[in-house]
Amino acid sequence: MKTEEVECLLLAISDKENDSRVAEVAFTELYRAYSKFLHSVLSKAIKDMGICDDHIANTIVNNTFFKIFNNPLVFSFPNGASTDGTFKAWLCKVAKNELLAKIDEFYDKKRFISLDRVNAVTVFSTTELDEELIQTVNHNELEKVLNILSDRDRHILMTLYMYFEKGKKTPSDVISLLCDMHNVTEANIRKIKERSEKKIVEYFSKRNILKPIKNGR
Amino acid sequence: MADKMTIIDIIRAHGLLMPETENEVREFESKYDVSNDLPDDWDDPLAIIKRGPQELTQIRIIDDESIDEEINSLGMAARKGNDLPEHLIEKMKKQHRNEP
Repeated sequence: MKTEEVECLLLAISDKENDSRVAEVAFTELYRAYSKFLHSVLSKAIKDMGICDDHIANTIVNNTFFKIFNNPLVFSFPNGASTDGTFKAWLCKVAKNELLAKIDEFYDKKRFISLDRVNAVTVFSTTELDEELIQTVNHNELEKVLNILSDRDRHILMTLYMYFEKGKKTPSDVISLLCDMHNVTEANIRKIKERSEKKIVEYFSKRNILKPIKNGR
Repeated sequence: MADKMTIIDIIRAHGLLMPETENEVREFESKYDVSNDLPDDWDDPLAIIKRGPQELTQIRIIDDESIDEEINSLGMAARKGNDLPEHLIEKMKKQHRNEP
């Protein structure tokens, strides 16, 4: 869709108090334009986290679009936007936050936050790679290297990456959530993450595609 | 000096995580076919408004044990107690891993 079309639909939805019929038509059009994309993104993410998608993707799509219906004007295109890519990216962020919140609620971790956040720890390594070498990495090679990890290790790594926020520490409740989900200890989570990232770096190093510049903690 | 990137940066840039930028959306759409992924409310989107937000009632974790159990139970049901052929077992495991 063009940016103007998306903006018109969101505006029509925001006017639902005055014209509910038009708002519903607009909502239907928006849903039909973006729900397949969002469902695909969620299905892949859920499977990558090692979760069976028993209607989880549909639940999150439902909740995301319900949020849009209730508050459509929370999104606006940045100046100069020429495609609806930023709207799709925003949809994914809303859906991701909703997915992680629902997983947290299911595992009931929130009641431990107040104590555990004091002990928040950094889990992610800061293995840095030269960008010139990174240019040679392609999607297929990345999928291949992720598939050489065991299913459990890959699921744990991808779940950690889902929760990762650049520049922020990983809360302990995320680690304990992973321990519950995959029935492992915190020490295991750290080892799995280190071992998996080491395998990824070794894979590309052996193929002379890229070399690690610096390993840091 | 070239910019540095981490492993997670690379994985995200190539569309392997949930997209967060326009470029990552473009990368995801170039790698994955989204056209056939019909969500449940495709025929009646207004049901979302009537239904309201939903909770997750079940989270099952995929692991090798659960895949093996599922394969075994499906095999028993379909073949009346006989094992599934190896190539079918591999196909089911690949589907769980999202491999083509």
